[in-house]
Amino acid sequence: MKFPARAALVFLAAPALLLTACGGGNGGAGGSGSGSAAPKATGQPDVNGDGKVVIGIMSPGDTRDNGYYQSFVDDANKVAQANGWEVRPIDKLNPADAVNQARNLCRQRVDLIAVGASVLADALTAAPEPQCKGVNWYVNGGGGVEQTEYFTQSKDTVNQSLYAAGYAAGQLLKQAGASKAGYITGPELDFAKQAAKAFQAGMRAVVPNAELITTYTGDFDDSAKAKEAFEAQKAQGIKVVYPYLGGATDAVTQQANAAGISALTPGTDRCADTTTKYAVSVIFSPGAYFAAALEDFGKGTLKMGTARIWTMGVDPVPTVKFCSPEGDQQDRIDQVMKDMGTGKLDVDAAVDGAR
Amino acid sequence: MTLTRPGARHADRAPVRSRLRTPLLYAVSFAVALALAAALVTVGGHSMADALLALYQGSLDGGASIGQTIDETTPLLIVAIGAIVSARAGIFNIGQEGQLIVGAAAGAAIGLFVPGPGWLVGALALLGAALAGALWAGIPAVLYYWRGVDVVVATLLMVFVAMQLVSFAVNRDYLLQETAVEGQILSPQSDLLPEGVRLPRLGEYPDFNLGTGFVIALAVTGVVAYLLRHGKWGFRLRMLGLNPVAARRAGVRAAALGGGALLLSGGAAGLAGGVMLTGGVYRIQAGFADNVGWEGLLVALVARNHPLVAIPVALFFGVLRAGGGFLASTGVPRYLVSVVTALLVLAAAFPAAYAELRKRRRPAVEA
Repeated sequence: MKFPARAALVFLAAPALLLTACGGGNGGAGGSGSGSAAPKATGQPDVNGDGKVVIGIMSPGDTRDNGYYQSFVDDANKVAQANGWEVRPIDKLNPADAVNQARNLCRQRVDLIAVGASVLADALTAAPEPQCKGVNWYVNGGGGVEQTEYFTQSKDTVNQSLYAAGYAAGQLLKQAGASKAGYITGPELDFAKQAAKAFQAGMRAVVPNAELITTYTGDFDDSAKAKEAFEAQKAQGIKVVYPYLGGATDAVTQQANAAGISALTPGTDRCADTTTKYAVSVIFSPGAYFAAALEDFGKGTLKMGTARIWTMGVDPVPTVKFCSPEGDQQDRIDQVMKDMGTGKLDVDAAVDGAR
Repeated sequence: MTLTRPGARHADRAPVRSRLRTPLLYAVSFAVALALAAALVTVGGHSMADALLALYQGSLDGGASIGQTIDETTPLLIVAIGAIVSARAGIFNIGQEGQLIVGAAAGAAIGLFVPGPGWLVGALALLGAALAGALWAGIPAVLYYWRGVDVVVATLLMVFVAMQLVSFAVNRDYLLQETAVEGQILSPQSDLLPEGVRLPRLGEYPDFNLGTGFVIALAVTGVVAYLLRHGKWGFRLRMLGLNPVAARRAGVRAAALGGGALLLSGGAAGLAGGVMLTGGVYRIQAGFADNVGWEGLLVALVARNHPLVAIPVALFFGVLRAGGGFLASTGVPRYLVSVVTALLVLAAAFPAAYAELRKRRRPAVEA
């Protein structure tokens, strides 16, 4: 090896780079904004006063999944287009990279950063930094993120949505004279396990001897694994399937359609879909919650440091809708949701005592 | 005036051509990659000039960007140095992604559960991370020298086992999962490391700021470069890699030296995981490795197994990682960012891979 020439190059280049680094204080496109004046706390939405409103969206999942995460972007786009704002989604984000991406968005001078799931909550550590000063933060918290003064969040309860979904599935099982349902999801995460538990509890409220076959494929978007899981469940005699998935949802439902097995949606309203048919839409779409927050943002009334809790039977979402209800199916599920809203049905107790 | 022998002019032309071949290959390679990237970005409705500007702004424009680039470079360099050590011994460890995440998980366990002063626990976390990475690489080493299982296959398969193992650990509250908070669904991640355990940072965001892990990376690189070039160990290692039969005849114990190189390689990957953990991420998550292991391996390939050359190459990869993240925040879709950065990585890796292929095809006499 020609050591001296190469080594000299390396040893000259590295300190030079470091010296350059020490000399630079600006943060790129938008300037560093270190210690910059705080943007208006009220009178949103152009909080940084750069003449345009930009909404940054951070999503751990695929925002083209035709479901949960896509709804987050689609619903934001509807509000943004109506107001002449720009939406910048960053999807498939690794949680370990969340802070860096949040900083990058701050450097791009966005006015609001929406964090698509609590798994990316580490992004919020950038909120107090000078570069992010004044930026509004919204978190689709689901089960909730520890509240601070820097962000607002939407919360719902997995027990409510999934118990109601299970109740609807129970009605479908009863109608088919069957007792076996399938539940296919990705990694064996806490929320997915809790969802299965709530779904089963709801199902058993209608069919007490109902059995839920649960499969964790390890990946919300891997259609091949999800289809394989469905085939295995079909062989065990399921009559209803709940693909609690991301990008792989439609692949499973199309197989279910071919096999005459009813399917439920994991978050969005797909009743109008004519190619992939769902029997029940279980609607807990983060897009609906986010759209409401963006409406408040547009009016200048979105308050940081607060959480909005979306309750079944009280708010329009979350909700469960039969696409082609038979008999009193929709009335019965409506009553269950209403009972949750009024507190007559203690859904947490119903789920915890399910097994 | 110099006198030349007949035929000497012809003989001199070959080395000139040979010397020009590599820069030309790089030029063509990058030109093709940029053309393809430009076509894709333009078809996607964006401007290639803006994309390149964003790549620059995110990686080299200003203190925060340069700090971010060096932070991204640090683990890549450590992984690459480990890969170079094993490659010099003729052993191809491609399981750094797994060794890195196992190392980080071990570092997290030490950082979270071992009592003691922060600096000591931090140092133990780094040491533990390196040892765990070495141990993970040790399994293929044992399989190879004991049962002849191919190292490439074994190290690769161990990556998937490592991913599942860490995913299991961060989903169990009795192992590494974060502490439960009333009313919250837990995420698949550990608690944050205590502040005292973390590697110190120079400067503060958004001004120039930098994790001190780069000092570790440079120290590891310097030591390995010196030992490989001047040390007896390095000489034996190179001999083993170049001709195992001759090395054995010369008294080199292949199992000890080769196995040791594989352990060192895994240890370096584990250390890289420890540096990422204590230097910036501060908690272990299922997707923690984030392709750093694979890209570190590419750094070694592009650097053609020269430790000092690995520094600028790792820096180039760091630029792509830092700039790619920034590019995504400008509104260019993430998938397009991935394609653009992958094309540039391919452009960097292609000439080295081509040269390696040529070397293998060349008749033994020529070599």
